[in-house]
Amino acid sequence: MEYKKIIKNNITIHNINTDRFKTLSVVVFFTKEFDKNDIAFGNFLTNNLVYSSKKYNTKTKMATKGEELYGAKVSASYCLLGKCESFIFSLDFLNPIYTEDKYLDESLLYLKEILFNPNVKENSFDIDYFNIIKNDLVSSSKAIKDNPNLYAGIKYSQIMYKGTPSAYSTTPTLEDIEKVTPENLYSFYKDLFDGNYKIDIAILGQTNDDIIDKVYDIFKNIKSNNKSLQFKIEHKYEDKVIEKIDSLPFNQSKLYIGYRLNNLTNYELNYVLRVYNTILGTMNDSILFNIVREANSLCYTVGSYYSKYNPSLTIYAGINKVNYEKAVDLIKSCVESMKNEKVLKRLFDSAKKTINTYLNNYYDDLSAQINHYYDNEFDTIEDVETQRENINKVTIDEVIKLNDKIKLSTIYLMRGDNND
Amino acid sequence: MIKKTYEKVNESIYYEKLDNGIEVFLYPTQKTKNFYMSISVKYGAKINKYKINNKINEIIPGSAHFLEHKVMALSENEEISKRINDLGCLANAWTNYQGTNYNLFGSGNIIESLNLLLDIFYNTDINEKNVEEEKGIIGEEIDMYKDNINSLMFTHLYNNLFHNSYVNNTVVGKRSDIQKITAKSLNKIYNDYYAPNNTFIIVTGDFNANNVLDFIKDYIGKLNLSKKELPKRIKSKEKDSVKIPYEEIKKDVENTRVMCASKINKKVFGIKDDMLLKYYINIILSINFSPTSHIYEKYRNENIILNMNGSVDIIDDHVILLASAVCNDGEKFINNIFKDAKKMKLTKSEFERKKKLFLKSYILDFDNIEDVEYNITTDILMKNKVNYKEYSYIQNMNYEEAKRILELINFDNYSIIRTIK
Repeated sequence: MEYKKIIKNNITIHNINTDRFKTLSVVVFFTKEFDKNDIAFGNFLTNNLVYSSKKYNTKTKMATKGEELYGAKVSASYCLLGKCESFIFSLDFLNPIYTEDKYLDESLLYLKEILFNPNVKENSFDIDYFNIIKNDLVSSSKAIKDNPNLYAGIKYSQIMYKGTPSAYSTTPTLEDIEKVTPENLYSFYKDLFDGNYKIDIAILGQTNDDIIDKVYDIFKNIKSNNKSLQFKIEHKYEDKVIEKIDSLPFNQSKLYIGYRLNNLTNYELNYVLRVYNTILGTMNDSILFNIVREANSLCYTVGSYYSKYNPSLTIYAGINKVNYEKAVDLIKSCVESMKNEKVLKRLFDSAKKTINTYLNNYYDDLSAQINHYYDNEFDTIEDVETQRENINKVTIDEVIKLNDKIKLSTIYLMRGDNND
Repeated sequence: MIKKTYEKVNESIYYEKLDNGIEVFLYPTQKTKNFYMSISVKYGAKINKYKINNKINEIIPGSAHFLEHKVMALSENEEISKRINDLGCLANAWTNYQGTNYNLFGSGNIIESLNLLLDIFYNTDINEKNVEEEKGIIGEEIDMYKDNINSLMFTHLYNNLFHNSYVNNTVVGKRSDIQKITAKSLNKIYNDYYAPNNTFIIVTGDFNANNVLDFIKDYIGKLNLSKKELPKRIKSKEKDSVKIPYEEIKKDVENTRVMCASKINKKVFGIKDDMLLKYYINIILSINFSPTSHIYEKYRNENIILNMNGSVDIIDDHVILLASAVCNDGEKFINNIFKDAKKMKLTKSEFERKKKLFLKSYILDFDNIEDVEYNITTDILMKNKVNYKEYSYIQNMNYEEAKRILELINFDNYSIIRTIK
């Protein structure tokens, strides 16, 4: 695999030349600082652009074109990444060596059509399709409660990350949806290309100069800025523990416990925390799995994850409501046991080996490779082999010391009140 | 070892059948630093009654899945647990109606990892105490599926379509079922079904095929396992009619979910190859119900649906054609879908375009070692053989045959399930 970064006209092109995959991917990122008012616009825009265009002016025509190109697909999403938001347009298609040469140009034209030839009349998105997307967004906003995992996760984040971008979900509120019109959506769309965003383009697959030129050619007339942006959120949270219980008519209750991570160094955030989290809640034999699930039969799902950009550690479990207090006590005792050298010693080397296995997976994961180079524009991320070296340097003492910087902040239960 | 090469993509598998009947499939490749391996049993939740040694045995629903939990009981065995940790592997297992699969993903020592996977599989300790302890965990898993609206609707739909089939029970069973499961009942199944000639091993990733095969032969040789008489599944007799044609599920969900399914006896189509029949019907349903179809466009434009898709399943002797939708207007969807389904059509260009999607999927499956393993496992569990010529198998599908099949499809024998608030 060879990587080359090219900056042209403020647009950053990440060329990742590899024969590992049988596809070619072109991913375009538009990034700027998060603004909560953009959430509804972001959803409207990404959905509208891939639904229809001027040339493919119905959903059927748009989908049919993709199928004609051996299932070429353009997906669009609006994402929150720490302090930033980004619009991501991703084209994936079969390497033309398995089809015909013409599919390269045709697939790139498909992406160009979607991005630059929207279904717009008189500076306004087509009203019929706008309304279809609007109905979809209203439905999905109302339907959040139908998915207990998603709903509980959103409610937990609202409490845990109050006052920061992480408290917001990418699903817009009904009030925000109403603020979007076909006209102001078109203005928002035009802003994408007017120097308000930092633009990154990742090209991954068996690439060459000709392909890079063809891709750049699509974007050469748009403006990107070169503002320095960072994902990491600095925020002073209130120093108190919040406990909240909501209820919904589901069978299983969802428990979230959030810990704040204070003043971690970059080394701790990138490496020590990763080992800590693996031992606590992700490896086969993790402490949470062993104590909460296996020894006490309290749940099927239990684990932990951390947020690097809004430093925090979250533990989640699907439990029966009658076991709430017991589960909270057990989880707290699991975190407490992370101070115990004897407990850590049993799992420490294995945790590092597990992380090494995950690191190897990077080479097989197309998205991970693209995201690595993109994320590096907003954060300092070492290459995989340097990460491996640093993980292997982490000591048990460093993991134990991390406990001094971890503080309980939020306990949230979405109680399932059904007994079907 | 026999080398088998897949068409078009120039990828090869090495195959060997051991004397005791265990089949071994090896996919060595240097495209990855990792390996993914599995051992599977051709025993899943579809078996609810079987005959062995002239004796008929009933199986409690949920047993195949419960057994999987007990075979993969890593934390109960300290030695196994320590070894898996030392290797830094990720172990997992799954059960479906057709079979049970135990797998390991890793990147360190492949022989030790294989040794570990086989030790897990061949050294089970199922006793009354650990079976009782597992009931709480599985109970929570059952509740988790019940909260998933899609999974809940499928459970009800299949229960309404069939009178006496294995799909009348879910793979995980009900809480009341698993209460009846005992160590004795699980050990009986393990002894009857976890036989060498009912088992296959797949290893994919970066390794030397000869070394891995030698190890497997050596390991299995030391176990002294012989071929066994395999139990015979007793299939229940299923009527062609549907059991319940319409059901409303009270569920406080925002949009109405509707599933409309037609049940057709497989004999009608005159195609013995289930996979081929599924490919044809999938294409027909995709042309008529996917986002490239006019029906989809019409329903979206009239604000009837948010999304819709068509799919096909074959349950023993019956083909199930399913149109499912998340609706803004469930009533209107139900009123329209059967009328529109009767007008299903396909053109040659649409048919050829849909074939391209299957071909793409076939080519891309080799990008990922886990997909290679999954496809071999599925082939064996569904058809008992691997299709190395899938490319021409898809290429050879023809429009005239698709038209013939379309004419045989009918929606007269159906069941509908929908949510109401």
